[in-house]
Amino acid sequence: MPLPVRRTVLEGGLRALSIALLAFCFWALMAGQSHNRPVAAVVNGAQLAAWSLSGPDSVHVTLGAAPGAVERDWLAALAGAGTAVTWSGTPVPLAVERIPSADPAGGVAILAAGPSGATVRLADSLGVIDSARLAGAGARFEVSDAGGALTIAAGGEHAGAGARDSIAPRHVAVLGNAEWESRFVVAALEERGWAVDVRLAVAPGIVVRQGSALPLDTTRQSAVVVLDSLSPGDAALVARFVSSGGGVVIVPRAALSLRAIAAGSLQPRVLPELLSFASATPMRALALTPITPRSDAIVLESQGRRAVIVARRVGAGRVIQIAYDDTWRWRMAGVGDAVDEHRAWWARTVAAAAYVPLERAQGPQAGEDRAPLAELVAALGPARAAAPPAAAGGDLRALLPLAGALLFLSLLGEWASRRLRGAP
Amino acid sequence: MSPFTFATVQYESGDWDSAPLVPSNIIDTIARYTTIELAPSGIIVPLGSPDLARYPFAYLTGHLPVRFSDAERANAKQWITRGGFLFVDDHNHDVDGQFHKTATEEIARTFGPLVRLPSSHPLYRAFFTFEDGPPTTSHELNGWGDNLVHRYLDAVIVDGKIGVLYSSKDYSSEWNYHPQNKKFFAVDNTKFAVNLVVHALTR
Amino acid sequence: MSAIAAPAAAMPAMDRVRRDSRSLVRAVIGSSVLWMLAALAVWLVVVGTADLAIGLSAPVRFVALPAGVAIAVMMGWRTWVRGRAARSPQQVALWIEERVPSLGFALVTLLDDSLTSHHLAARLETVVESREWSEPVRRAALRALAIPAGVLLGAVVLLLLLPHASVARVARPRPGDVLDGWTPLRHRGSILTPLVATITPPAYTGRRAETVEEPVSLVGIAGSEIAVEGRGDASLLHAQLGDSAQRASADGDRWRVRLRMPDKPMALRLGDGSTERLVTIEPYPDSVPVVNLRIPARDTVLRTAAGTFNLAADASDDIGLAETHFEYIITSGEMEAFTFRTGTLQHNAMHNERHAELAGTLALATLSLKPGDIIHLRAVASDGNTVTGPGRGASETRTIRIARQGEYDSVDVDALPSMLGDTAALSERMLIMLAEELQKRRPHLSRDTVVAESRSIAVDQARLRRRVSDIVFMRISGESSGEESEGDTTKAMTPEQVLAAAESAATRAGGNPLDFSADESPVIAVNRPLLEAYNAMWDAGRSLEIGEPADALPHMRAALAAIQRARLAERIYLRGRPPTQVVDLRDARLKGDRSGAAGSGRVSGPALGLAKSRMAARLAVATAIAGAAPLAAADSLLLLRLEALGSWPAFAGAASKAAADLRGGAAAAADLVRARSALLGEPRHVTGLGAWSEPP
Repeated sequence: MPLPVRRTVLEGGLRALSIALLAFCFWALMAGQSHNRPVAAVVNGAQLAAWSLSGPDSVHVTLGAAPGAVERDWLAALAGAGTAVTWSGTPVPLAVERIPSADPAGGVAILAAGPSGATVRLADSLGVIDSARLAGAGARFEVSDAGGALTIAAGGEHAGAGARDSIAPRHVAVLGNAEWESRFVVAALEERGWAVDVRLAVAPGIVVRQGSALPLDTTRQSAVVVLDSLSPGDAALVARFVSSGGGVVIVPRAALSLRAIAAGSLQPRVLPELLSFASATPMRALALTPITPRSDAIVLESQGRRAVIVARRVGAGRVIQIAYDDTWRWRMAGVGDAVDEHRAWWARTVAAAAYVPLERAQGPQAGEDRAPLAELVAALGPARAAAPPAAAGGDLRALLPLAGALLFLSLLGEWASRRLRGAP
Repeated sequence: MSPFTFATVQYESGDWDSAPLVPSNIIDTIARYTTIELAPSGIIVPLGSPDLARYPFAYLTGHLPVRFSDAERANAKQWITRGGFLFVDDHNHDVDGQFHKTATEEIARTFGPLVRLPSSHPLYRAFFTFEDGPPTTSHELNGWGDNLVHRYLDAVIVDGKIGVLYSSKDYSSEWNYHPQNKKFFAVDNTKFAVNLVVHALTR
Repeated sequence: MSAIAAPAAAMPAMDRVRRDSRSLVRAVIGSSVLWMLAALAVWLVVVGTADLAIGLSAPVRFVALPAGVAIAVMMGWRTWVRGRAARSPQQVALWIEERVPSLGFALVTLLDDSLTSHHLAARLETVVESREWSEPVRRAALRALAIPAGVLLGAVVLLLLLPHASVARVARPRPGDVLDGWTPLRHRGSILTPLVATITPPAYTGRRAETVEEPVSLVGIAGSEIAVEGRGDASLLHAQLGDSAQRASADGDRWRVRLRMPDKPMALRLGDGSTERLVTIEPYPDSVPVVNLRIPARDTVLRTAAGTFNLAADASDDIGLAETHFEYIITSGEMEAFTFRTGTLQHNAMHNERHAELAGTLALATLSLKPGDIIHLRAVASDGNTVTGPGRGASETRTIRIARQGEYDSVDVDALPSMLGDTAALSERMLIMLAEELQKRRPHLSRDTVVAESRSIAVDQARLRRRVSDIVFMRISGESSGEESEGDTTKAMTPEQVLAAAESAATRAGGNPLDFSADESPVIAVNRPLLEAYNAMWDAGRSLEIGEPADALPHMRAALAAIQRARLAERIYLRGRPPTQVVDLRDARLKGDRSGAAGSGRVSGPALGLAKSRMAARLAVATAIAGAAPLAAADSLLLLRLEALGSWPAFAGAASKAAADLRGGAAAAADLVRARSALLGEPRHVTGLGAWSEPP
């Protein structure tokens, strides 16, 4: 009978198919084992531990964000142990630098770099401190340094600035005459914590001294504040000090005697814009002598078109030239916390010039991960555009469910055919 | 640059202008011995005026009771806290007099307690050296006042520095003459004023 | 009630039922009361047992008794509601029928109001008479009382068995009774928990003692007595206030440290060898009285020492005043020869009132004043501070000077400038009212009448202007000046001339007098605030002269405003300014003999600004250990608070809150952030990295 014959053939075919599918599944499983090629979208401790135990030939991770320092180093260790580690993804490049201010009272500048327009958040162990939108790929935060680790975050990325590096502020020398500006500048710097060397002329041959203001020496002084014109000899000492790395702050009265190193030339003196210090910009209530900057100088602060603080590098040192002669009036007549503000202003001005060697903390710091993406590239190489093509076993394993289903259907069909024709 | 300006404090009670020639005499003295930039004349500034902040050195004297008004007290307190130097001299040179009693009471109430300034204080070596402390005045034993030689000055110390210097020595009488008359003195009796000003400008 | 009369021989059924009803009502009331008491007692047993077992918190204990009373009332009410049917004879009859079935509803039927048959009633009465039900009623009443009484008795027994302290903590909770209660397991072994402190203010304050449980900081008036108590062996305790050790005394099973509130904030350290607790002691001072001398309101110069001065002042104190008086110093003499007399007036003993009005009079004639004498007058008040005081507050001082004959600097000896200003203000206000009235009546008046009345006002305005001019220009002799004298209009100056002269006088260096004719004494001062009034009066006068009161009114109001401003100037300096002495610096420069002069060494000043950064560093450490060692972090924060109280109160407050959070096991991050912000301020940020780099 033709029908049973055809049915027998069909049943034979189904049996053969079943055997073939069974063989395929077995082969696929074996091939998968011999060509271990994991691909992971998440890098965590458990995953890393599993890879470390199984020792795969290669690992590829797809990253949404740069992994932390521990995960990154673990992946690098896997690579070092013979596993080919590759990665793909587009983590946001983010970098942070923490620079202590040259200020005995502390303070730190946090420089954050990332894609322009991104919003970065500055945080410490307690929470977010401040946030800013990056412009020109960067932002700068100035915070009073509490000493703990600081991190910045943007779009799921984190970078850590670690703990504080120490600075070794030296002395500040103040040269000038006995007058109110000298008296209050020295007071402001001392109150801020600077050790101040003072030389104030009172009469011919008579000076009021504190410490050893002259000769200037970068091993003793970080900066010198010159509040009055100097003799040519003293001016030469200041110039040599700056060239060898020291900082100098020059007020208008001292600019002429220090014109060789000054950051600019003086314009005619102008009266204060405001009559009262009771404003958000109290410095505008001070008379000033605007500065015309030299070509190699940078204007740090200006009032309208008038440059009032100008900086310049001379040799290894820095020169800050300011346009104010009588800042003590701000301290005495200002409103609110004028004393603190005057003190802080002078501290910032001196810090911008002062030579303060930075002593980096030795070894890795807790929470330090200044540029996670750069560190990742350094550790694992650049990103690959996509995951590499998988080995045969790896792809065929994906067909195992389908093969299993076909196997079940073929066996079911063969059994049903036999039962329907009455065969055992 | 602001030259040093000698300011006399005008307060609402008492005779604050009892020694009108002292400012010019001290200005002359400072010019004679130092190169400090000076205003050629003194200025009178009310104790309660914001203008006081323009003159970190001020001189207060008188014979009569000193009672500050609330405005004077608040303004003077802020001025001292920010770095002002107030030289108070008892024109009566009488520790039992009303100027002394009321002025020291007001000073203690407004600025804090007066403490004795030792002879070793830098004030006495700021320019000229006064080994024995404040120089004696010819008025201390002139029959008026308490007829005592006051060996020390008192001061209110603010942040480690002199904020108020109080004298019972009657420098107001001692220095209250025209500067041209210095030539009649064998020894200039205003030298201590140089120390006051130099110390105030450099402390 | 039945309409059928009961037989006279025996007690009628109705009376018997009413008697039983009363018995049952009494039983219900008694039962309600007993249930109330029983419920309260049981509640106290339950709560007391719970406190003994787990130590209930103070808030729970403070609500426990009111809650128990509420439950008891509910229980009594419920009992009453359930038994209130005993008031109704019909209900009682039914209740009896249930218990005496042999009545066969005869009693209920007899008491039924609808029963009208006398015959039936008599028969029913007969049936009822033969039945007795007093026993069930008696049993029911007894049962209603016996059960709650038994419960009450049991509860009372249990209460007696419970520790007295536990019952007292529930029945009469009070601050500090934490020492009477249970100690949690985690604190057993430490004598520092629980801890109770009692602050007793000085007796003079009249304030009550305050008890604080588990104190973190103790705040009290300086001089207060502080007692800190705990449970355990006193010999194990080490207590130290600042640098001085404190002795602990034993009282039964408790230790106690007594100390006096110090003058400045300090830390009290308590230790038992294994643990340490820190409590900040924060005194606040007893403020000195605030005194305001209202009358006299201004300094005054008098020509003669006659008459009396009214004196008025007010004083207030934060706690209470003990004494008030006026005080004067009379200065006599000139040049070097000054003499002083002092005295007091109107002593008033106070009785701790917080506010007082002082009043009195100063009779000048009794003071033997001479020309040139000056009276310095002020009001003084003392508080009752017997510990650190008494605090003495004084008002501003007013001076009353008796003018000398012909003295050159008494520019206003004829009249007080301020008082003249006062009268001028009154007069100007009156003239304004007259002008306004005239303007209002103007439509009904003839032109001639208007002009006549207006000129009448103008005459008064001119008179007032002349009086003001006496203040505007003050001459040595004190005579009228500035413009024409009364009735003399030929020498009148226009406002422009007056102003020009005034400006010239006011701006001329050296205070040269105004031009004056030979028979006039020179003008030595110009009262600038009143110039505006003078000028406005002139304009007003011109308008009034031509019969235009409407045009005059704005000028008159301007004049009044100027007078008011002048009156606000409390004091007018009466002396002339000394002549300016100009020194020829070029001539004098370095002409002195500088031998003996030497450059001195300067002594460096304190680093005030570092205090904040040091405190910030300590805050950072406290923050870092807050997770692992919250109690240690809390102690650090409290010490920081002590140091910051005077300088950075906002930080001190946040630090205290964070410490309390850490002590209580709560999250302190928010308060730590607040503390950090209060201490370090907000950070600054700038877009871009800046052109000037940091140090290498």
